[in-house]
Amino acid sequence: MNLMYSCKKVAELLLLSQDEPLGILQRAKLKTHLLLCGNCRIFDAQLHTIRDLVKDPDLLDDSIAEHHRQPKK
Amino acid sequence: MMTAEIESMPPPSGHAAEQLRSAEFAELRPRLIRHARLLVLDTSVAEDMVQETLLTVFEQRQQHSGAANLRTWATAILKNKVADWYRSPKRTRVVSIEVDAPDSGDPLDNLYTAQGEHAAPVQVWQQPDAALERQQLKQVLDQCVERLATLQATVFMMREWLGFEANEVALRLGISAENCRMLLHRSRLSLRGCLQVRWYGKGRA
Repeated sequence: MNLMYSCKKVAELLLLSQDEPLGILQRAKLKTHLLLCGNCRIFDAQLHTIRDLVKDPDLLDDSIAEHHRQPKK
Repeated sequence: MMTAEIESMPPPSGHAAEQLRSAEFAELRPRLIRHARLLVLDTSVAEDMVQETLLTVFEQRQQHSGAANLRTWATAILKNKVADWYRSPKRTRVVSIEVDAPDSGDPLDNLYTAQGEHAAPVQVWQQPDAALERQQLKQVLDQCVERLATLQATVFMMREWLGFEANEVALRLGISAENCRMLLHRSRLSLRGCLQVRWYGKGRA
């Protein structure tokens, strides 16, 4: 059994993990890889950024309201 | 005389807030339409839902005058309507399913070498601190979602915006779990690429 995932495999699993729970072995191997690989950690963070941007319904509204409340001088 | 008295009275304290609200109300419809169309493939159904949403907002806005932002509130109403529609047993499932060409290859192939290593270093995405800049980033993401293939956009929005589990997305659209997984995979990768080019590639990272 291959102990280390390739970065591509990690990307695949990170994408999948946004929608489905991974198996315990998959999670362990993923965690190990992420510990050692900066690029994959950044990739993971990027996926979460996208999710957070969509999920945050007040982001746009609050910023606009704030913009109106404090007009630029 | 009565009229003169009324006219000389200072405007009610909520006047400015009320004006802001009517401005918001005017831009509400196109925004809701954009969201609804991404989620519901049948345009007339999407427009009906927005119409109903606006009606609800209009009828109940007095009770909500002090409540959270009009847009947030209207968006929540629309979300519920779309989710209810998808879950309604009466809904006739006439979703025209256009499936991605299966031979178009995994978009991951472009990002990794044959050995499975990153083809190029991955760029850190800094989150903008300023509210206005965050708002612009969110707008760019909205545009990126609109540029996705139709079904990819719908699947992505059902999952992320409506908050359906992946298996429910597949169920409600009448597509296989495997197909749904592939569509989510591709939509996320496309959005990542789109944000990288259209936002972070412009010296913001």
